[in-house]
Amino acid sequence: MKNLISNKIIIYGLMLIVAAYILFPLLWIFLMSFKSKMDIIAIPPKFIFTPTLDNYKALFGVSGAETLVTGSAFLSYFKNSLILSTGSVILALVLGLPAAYAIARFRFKAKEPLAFTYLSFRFVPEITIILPLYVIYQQLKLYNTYIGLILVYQLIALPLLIWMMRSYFEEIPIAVEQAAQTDGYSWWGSFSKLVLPLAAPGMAASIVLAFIFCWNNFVFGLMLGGNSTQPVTVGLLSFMGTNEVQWGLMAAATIVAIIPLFLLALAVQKYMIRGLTFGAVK
Amino acid sequence: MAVTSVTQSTPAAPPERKRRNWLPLIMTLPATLAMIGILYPFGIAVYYSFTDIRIVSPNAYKFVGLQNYIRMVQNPNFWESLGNTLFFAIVALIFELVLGFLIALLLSQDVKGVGIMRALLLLPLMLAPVIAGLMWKTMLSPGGPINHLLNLGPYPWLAVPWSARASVIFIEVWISTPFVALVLLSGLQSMPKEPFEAAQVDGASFGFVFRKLMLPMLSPFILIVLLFRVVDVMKLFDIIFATTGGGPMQITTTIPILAYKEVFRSYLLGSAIAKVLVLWLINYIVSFWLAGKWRQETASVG
Repeated sequence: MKNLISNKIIIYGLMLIVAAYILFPLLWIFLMSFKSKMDIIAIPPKFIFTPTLDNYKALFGVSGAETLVTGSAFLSYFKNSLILSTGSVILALVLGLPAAYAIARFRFKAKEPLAFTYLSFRFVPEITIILPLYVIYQQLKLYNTYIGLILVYQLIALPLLIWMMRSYFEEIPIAVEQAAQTDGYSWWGSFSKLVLPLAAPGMAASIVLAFIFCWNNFVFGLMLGGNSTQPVTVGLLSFMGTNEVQWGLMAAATIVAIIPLFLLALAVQKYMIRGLTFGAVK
Repeated sequence: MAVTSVTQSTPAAPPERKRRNWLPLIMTLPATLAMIGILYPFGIAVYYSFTDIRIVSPNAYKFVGLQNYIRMVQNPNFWESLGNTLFFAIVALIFELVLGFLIALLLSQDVKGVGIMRALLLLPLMLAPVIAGLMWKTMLSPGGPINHLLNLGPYPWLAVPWSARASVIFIEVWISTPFVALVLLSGLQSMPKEPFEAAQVDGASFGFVFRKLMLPMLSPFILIVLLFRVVDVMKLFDIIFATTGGGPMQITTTIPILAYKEVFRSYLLGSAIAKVLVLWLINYIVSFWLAGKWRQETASVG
């Protein structure tokens, strides 16, 4: 398309506004995480101040810093998030990868209805499943366990992986597999040696996206997890604490919680934009 | 459904595969079983909604028929929350679509730096909604930077009814507009150039090009956006939980927030489930309708 706006200065001006709109709150939290308590509550808000690492030290329970129960608990929330997100993605891969491949490659009657059924689970408000599970999990001793949480995380991870992987598999020409099989490769051989490597970038994007969606989930941990299993999204709320809001800790925790995601996301950015749209956009 | 599935299906599978009909079924079995596993608590939910079950004594409950539903429709709090849910959903979606389209249009311009902008747009998407909520709560606090920049004094954004609503919508729009923009941008970039060049040669106005060319070509993308956004915005919970907690008064209470409070403050599980089932039903109808439309569009385009 030819440029609608011929003046480049206007285009860049508008782009700057969009960038500021997106970045300003993130930047503010970033600055806040390096502020001392006094600087944080200063009115008017300070844009220039002497940076301190106190919030990060407290967060990681480094001695000498103002050690708080909430601060050192952060590491365990962080660990919980890692276990839950990784575990959920692995389980979703085991369950979903064969399904995605079958839907992409084979012709069978139930194909489209089945594919749509998988996707339709994304439309279920999580709270509909969680409320009865709160009772069921306590009876089955799954309440406040990693396994219990990983199982319900499938509600997010599984439909996402199946739909994204399906579209990536469909893009690999079937001739690749046929040629390999006429060359004497077994079905498994052609799948593992040809299809998987070709699907790898898309797979990486799907895995990253599923990981991020799990990492960012809040309601499952809030209602089905206890202190020992709750993820970082729930843990962060504890800094809004009962008596005093721990702004500095909250800001530092936010930065620590999102940096790994940003790095992961940037690595597969190109594929992810398409993945986000579930293959609707070719 | 059968007709669209034929037209939509992928390049013909090799004939020898067609005979092995059990293979795809076996391969999809684990995922199908997992989904059935999810259906189980859903079934229990429907059952519980007809009982007086309380989470403090989950084993002692009795069947009460439609009582939960009857009390629900008589409860003004329910209608207010349902109204809030729909109000947030509709207003937020309108803003997201308009803003998202404008940003997509801007980033479809052929200038340097759009790549960086696209990476920037991913940032809010990577942020957990609850964290984004906390972040904006900080920004909007009476002594926070927003009041400072707007020179408003210590205005309590989240404690005044109209601005609490506006803030929740604003935060939701901040989080999700980038997603809308990225999808619509892919749509804009997938369009053929010729009709637009022809329109330019003929001196057509932007309004004409927008209505007659862009909108029809973008419609599958708009539908996909709606399909995913409608569902998410209808179950708005995280942002509200992190910012207003549903207040002041009931003004930002959505159905999920109402149900949460009912369960964890009044322990009335059956009654809360009845309310979220209503939400599910609305979601289901809307998303099914949208998905059907989307299939029609994609099937006719090819």
